[in-house]
Amino acid sequence: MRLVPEVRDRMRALVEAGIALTSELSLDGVLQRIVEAAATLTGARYAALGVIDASGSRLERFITTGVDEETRREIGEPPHGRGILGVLIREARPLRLRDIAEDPRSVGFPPGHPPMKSFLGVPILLRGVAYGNLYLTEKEGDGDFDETDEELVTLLAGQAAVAVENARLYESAMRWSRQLESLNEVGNALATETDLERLLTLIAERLLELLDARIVVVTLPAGPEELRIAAAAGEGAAELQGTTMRRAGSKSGRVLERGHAERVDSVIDDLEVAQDVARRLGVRTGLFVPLVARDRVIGVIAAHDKLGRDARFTDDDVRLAETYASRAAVAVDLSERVARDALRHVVAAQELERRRLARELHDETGQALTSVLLGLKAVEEASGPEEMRAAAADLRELVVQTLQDVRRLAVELRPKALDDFGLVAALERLTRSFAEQTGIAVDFHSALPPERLPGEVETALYRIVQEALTNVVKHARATQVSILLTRRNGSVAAVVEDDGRGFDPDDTRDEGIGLVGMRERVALLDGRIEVESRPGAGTSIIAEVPVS
Amino acid sequence: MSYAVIWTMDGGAPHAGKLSLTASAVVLEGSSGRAPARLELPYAAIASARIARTPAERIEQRPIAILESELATVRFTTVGGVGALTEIVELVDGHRADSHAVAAC
Repeated sequence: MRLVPEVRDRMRALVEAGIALTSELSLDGVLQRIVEAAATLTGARYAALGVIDASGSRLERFITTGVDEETRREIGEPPHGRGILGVLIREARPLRLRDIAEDPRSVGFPPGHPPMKSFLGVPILLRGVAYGNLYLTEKEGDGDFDETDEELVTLLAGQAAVAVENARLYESAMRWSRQLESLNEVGNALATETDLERLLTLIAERLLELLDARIVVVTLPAGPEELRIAAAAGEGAAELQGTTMRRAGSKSGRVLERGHAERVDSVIDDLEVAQDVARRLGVRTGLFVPLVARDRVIGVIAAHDKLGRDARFTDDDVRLAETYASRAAVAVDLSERVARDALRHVVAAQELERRRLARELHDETGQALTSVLLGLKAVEEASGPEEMRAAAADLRELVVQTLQDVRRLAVELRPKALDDFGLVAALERLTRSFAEQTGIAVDFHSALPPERLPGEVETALYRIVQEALTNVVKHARATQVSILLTRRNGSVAAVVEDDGRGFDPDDTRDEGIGLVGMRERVALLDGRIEVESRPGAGTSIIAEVPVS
Repeated sequence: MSYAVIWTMDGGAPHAGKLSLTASAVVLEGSSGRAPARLELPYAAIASARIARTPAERIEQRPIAILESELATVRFTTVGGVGALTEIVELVDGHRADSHAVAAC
């Protein structure tokens, strides 16, 4: 069969349009290409594609070609599907008109709309369900759309349906991929990030991106009557962070009580929403999801205003937010448990130290004072000057010894040099005493400027070095230790290195209570501890604490 | 429970290391220079555990603890840890009493 050249050209154009459609992956791109291909195939001056909304009765999107920006602005709001466009939505079959205005179902054009006469409308069906319609007007040369135009556009609509489906699948796959990537990032952060606020902020930021929302906040209870925004992402996040609101009279408070997710399509119509807050933030819609950990509601994630044509959140958004809420709940629960454990550690350590101190005072100092009393008795009962001098000499020796013990006790509890002369002087004394007692050579060097550091930083670094030296004695079998104090990038670091037998840092059994204590100390100051070691190669401990 | 200690055995060289109290024995580990050493004193074998505070017995002017047994006489001081010396002696005494009670049953 031989095709006339015109038909052959149009078929070729149709095939090319099909190829072009399959090469486009974004849905927006596909829709635009469909419109342009339809216009080219039929010689229409104007073409449009209306996407039908979930109700099936209105258009939610309207993509055009042939209408310039200025005209579009003059026309104003895109059509929603009344008149002739509505006929196609309802009937979902091709429609050809010689003159739109002559059709009794036509409702006319808005002001500024270019004149349109000839019309061809063809539905795009996805698996038998109307996805949208192609609208073509003003056939070139003032002609009418004919049967061939209708057939070509119907064929194009079939190809378009496949392309739309592919683009939807592709975008869906990309969305899943982004979600998995984001969840993976949050999962890693859950395992490594110790700062709850940073973790919740990450969760809020990722959820904001995936929901395409304007604002996402994570609120946690602050006392029995208030909620505090622990993390925020999006518009005005910095101002929102840390603000509080009353539980009663806020939607988050209600969701906290009820413990299930809620979608609010219009905040002004929801009596539970705190309207003053909603007005201040300028929000229109909301999505509230509880954080549930071990059957307990411990907070709420709220998202507001989906960006784009429709500000309402979908059921998929609710499911997505619930996934992130479960991660946030784990983070909050874990943080609460860690805080409780840390407090228990602190209390236990304090009690242990008090018990030891009491024992030391009772057994050593108490006994020494008892001996002094006995010595005084011996002085009193001395039979002559010689005996008295000897008893007094013994007594003096005892008092000197006791004084040394009390001083040692005081130094071990809290070296006075640390308060009076600072970290460097205190560590010089500590390392000197350590070397004398243990026989392990210590090389101490400070590269710190002469200015004193904040008290809590000096105390933390002193205790960390002290603990590191205790570990050297207990575990390292070292002959030499070097200690360096240095300042770098807005922080101060203490580096303790030994030439001992080392250990495998990946073996958590080696992470004794000493290292745990060091980590807790620096964590309180937003610092960090790094341990570098391997069997047979010594150990380096680097404690770094930020200083302003 | 373990403590950082400096210990000597039968008046020998001092070792820097760790004293652990296990269920059955006092275990001392450490090194003198590069030479490692390990000593295990079962509680049942310890004849006495006491703190020595006389000037002659002190090391570096610090009081020491002395564990006497048939195997060896061990002297040690703790590195840091306020009151740790007294605590160790008390715990060793407790274990010794337990081990003797078990032996008597």
